[in-house]
Amino acid sequence: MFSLNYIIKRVVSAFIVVLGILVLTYILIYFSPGNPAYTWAGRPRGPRAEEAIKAAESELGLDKPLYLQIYIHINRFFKGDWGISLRFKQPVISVITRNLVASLELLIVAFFIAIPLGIFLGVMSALYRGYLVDKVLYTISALFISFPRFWIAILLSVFLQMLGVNLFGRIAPSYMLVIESVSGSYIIDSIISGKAEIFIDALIRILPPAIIVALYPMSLTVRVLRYSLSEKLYEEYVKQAISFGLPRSRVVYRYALRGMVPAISQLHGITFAYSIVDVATVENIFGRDGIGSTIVKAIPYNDYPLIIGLLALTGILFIVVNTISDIIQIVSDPRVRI
Amino acid sequence: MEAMVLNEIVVRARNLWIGYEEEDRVLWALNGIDIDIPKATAFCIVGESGSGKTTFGNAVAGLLPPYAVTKGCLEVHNITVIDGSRMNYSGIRGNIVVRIPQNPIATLNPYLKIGSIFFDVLSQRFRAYSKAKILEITLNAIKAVDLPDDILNRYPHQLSGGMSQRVAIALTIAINPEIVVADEPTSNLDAYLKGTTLNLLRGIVRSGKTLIVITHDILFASVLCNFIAVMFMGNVVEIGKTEEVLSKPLHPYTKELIDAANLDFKNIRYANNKLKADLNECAYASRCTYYSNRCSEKPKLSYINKSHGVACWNPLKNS
Amino acid sequence: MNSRIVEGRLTAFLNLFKISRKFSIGFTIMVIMAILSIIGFFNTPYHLEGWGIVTEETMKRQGLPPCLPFNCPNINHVFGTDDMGRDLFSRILVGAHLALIQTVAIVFISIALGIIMGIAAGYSNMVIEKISTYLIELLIVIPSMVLAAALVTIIGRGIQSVVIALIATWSPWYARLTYILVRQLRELDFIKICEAMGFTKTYTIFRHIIPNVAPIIFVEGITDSGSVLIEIASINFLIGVASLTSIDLPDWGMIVGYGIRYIRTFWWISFFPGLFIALTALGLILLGDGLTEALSPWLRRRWRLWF
Ligand SMILES: Nc1ncnc2c1ncn2[C@@H]1O[C@H](COP(=O)(O)OP(=O)(O)OP(=O)(O)O)[C@@H](O)[C@H]1O
Ligand SMILES: [Mg+2]
Repeated sequence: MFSLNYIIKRVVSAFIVVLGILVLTYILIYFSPGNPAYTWAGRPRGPRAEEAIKAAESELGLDKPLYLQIYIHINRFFKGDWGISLRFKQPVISVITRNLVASLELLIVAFFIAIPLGIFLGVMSALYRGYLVDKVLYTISALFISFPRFWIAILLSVFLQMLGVNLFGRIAPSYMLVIESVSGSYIIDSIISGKAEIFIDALIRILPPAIIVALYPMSLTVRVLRYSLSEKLYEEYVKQAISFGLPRSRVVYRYALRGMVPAISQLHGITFAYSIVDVATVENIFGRDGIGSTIVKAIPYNDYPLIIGLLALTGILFIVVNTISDIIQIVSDPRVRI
Repeated sequence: MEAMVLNEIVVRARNLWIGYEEEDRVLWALNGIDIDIPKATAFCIVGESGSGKTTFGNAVAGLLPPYAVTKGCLEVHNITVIDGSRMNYSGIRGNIVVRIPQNPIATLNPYLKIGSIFFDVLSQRFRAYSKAKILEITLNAIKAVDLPDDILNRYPHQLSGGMSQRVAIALTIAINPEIVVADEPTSNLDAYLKGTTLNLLRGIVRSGKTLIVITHDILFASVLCNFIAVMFMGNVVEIGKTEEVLSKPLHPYTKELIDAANLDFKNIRYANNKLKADLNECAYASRCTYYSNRCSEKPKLSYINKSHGVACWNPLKNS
Repeated sequence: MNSRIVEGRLTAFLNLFKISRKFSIGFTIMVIMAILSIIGFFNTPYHLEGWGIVTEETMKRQGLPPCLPFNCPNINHVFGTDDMGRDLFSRILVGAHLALIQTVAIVFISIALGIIMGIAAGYSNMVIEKISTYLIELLIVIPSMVLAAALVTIIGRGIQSVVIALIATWSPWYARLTYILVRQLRELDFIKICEAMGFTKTYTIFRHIIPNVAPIIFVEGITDSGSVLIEIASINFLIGVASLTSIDLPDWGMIVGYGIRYIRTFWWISFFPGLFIALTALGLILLGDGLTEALSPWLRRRWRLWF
């Protein structure tokens, strides 16, 4: 296929960016004010500080030349040895993967809500621009974009609490021991082990935060479609389809909206990265595990290895998402040939 | 023959006004025109840029943008589509009227293969037909315009301009509507493709359909069409049988157009068109060599014989 | 610049209000916020010492009623007080200029850096173009939140960590936009003619490329500023949640984040700063939308599907 070549090229350049991120994380360590080993050890104080700094120094290989240090850093990264988290006293890689899966679960559910709903409402808004439907949709999306999601989440959680509904955590504590962790995502795990009640519990608990995280990508889709779909409806080929007498739904969805797929794919590649901040804040409010709560726990302990590992892994996640969205963009347009 | 032709009118415009809403005013593109288009003829509309030809074609084909405002009355195939400010094109588009686009490459959906475009369009037109039947119609239409069958598997961007023009005509043939509106069908084709397009359009007329051709090209019009209407600044200034209009033009503007086509620019005055502020004046007044005081009043279209009409106070005298 | 031009600009600006109601609303909100932040910068009901901390003496001197922790909203404290007995309204007023300055600084610096990077990637020599392209690709995938957390552990919990992190992650978007625009411009004849006539690249950049690119980027930046404000607030929210002791810096996001631990009983600590973030972001977004609308008239057209 014509696109295979492109995909290979894209993956190679993505890999270069991954290396760039690793170098950057090392630079962050190296140029941290004071002694890098001191930062890496989490600014220890007290009698055992000397020892901890010594250990960190040998771990980073600070006595070697800089390029070797970077090489050691990258090498250790690919071996999965990212150091020990100071807060959790566990290997960084296991802490991060556990929490990243939890966050991804939330993010993906949110996007499953946001994309179809956003497209549907955006089409409505574009078709009746300036009329009541559109005005209502515009107002709603402007509010959802401008209201901080953590604030909406606070209001919702207080409201739920007033109703006496307890949806905190990712899963009811009593189920926690019953389920065995395979993927780290309770939704997938419960399907694998075939426990319907756990599945429903996990789903109900993920819905309120997921809806809140979905607000931003959904509203953004509505706004983008509102602006550009009505422009698309003026394209000559859409006009011609109308002249050929195609029914309205076909013209709108198969002709006009089809032309928006690359733009929508690009948009969601971007909002995926933006929404991770929302995920982090909303997780904290709903008492869920995830990178948000990891960061919150890491900051007071100056848990530098954990944060650096998180930086590298989230960066890599974004690269993957960007690459996928670029590939969708290219493949969905038959005019582009590589 | 003539009587029969004049009896059956497929497009009838009566005092039709069409304008576009601007910021705070309406820009009138058609200022109260009257046109009757007889069935099974090739009817041509010529006129300079901005005179409202496309607007009229879109009004017939039902492609006016949503911010268009209308007055008067337009009947297509005995269905009133424009009545005052109301528009209703249900059942017209794709069944009775189809527009052949000016720029065919841009008018095919770039994301669909030609085959699925055909299928989309035809399954809508002939709901009762089976897939095989639709494919048969498609292949016949493709054959009628001399395209290879494998074109159905291609994307629009893989076609040349002439090929996509023929695809558009094949689509029209397959739909088989009563009225075909061709908006500048030849404006960006070379001489040879112009000839083939001409033949295809003739074939449409011969099969008993009505063809409305909008063009700048008065030569092309003279070869293809039996009727011609000359438009100027949103008014029909002259209308009639092609031979009559071209051999004995009555309106000074028609004369100007014919002279221009013959590369004879001796009598042309280069004057800017006035803004359309004064709708009560003859629109051509500021450019007219035969200006008289009466021209400050707008002339009505008056017929000198059964089919030849002119809107001018001082029509040219052709000896 | 003579007075005619100034007058023309002024009427054009006033016209914006006539054309777009969104612009008027957004502008009004932002003017109110600006006034509040200026007031908050100089004087607040309970702000004299530090970041809204009221000491015994000042209260006595001013004859103010005593401040108790967790006062619910009342006449003396319209928005209540927090866990240290600080007047929330005063803290929000002081926080206003922090929020506005952070947003404006981030957007402007990101735009400036973005234009530089974009032009370097799109219109310079081969090596710099390659390097800049990869730099943009790299910065684009850096998660702002985690970078901010890293900087917080290095530099500490001031506003500068968040500002640096956001500049690093927003500028590549403007760089990418600039890059795309520059690529389009390069294909146009007037740039090609400049090259053919032997003008230097620097001349072309300053004379032709920046004037064509900057306005587009600026409108984009104004539209984005609402999202920037919320991103700042979200990251500060996390820092606030992470904080073990009460924070002096009256950043809105931090107040919300710190107050979250009391949300079940003392809801106002998180509610009111959040409301102000929401209002400010709404103002910025309406401002951006209004500008976009004013620049593209067809967006203002009312229309429905006509077929
Ligand atoms: N979509 C539109 N919106 C606003 N005004 C329009 C629109 N389409 C046409 N007009 C205006 O209506 C008038 C007539 O335009 P029209 O396209 O009908 O001219 P035309 O005779 O087809 O010209 P050309 O030969 O250049 O195609 C012009 O003054 C034009 O500015
Ligand atoms: Mg036209």
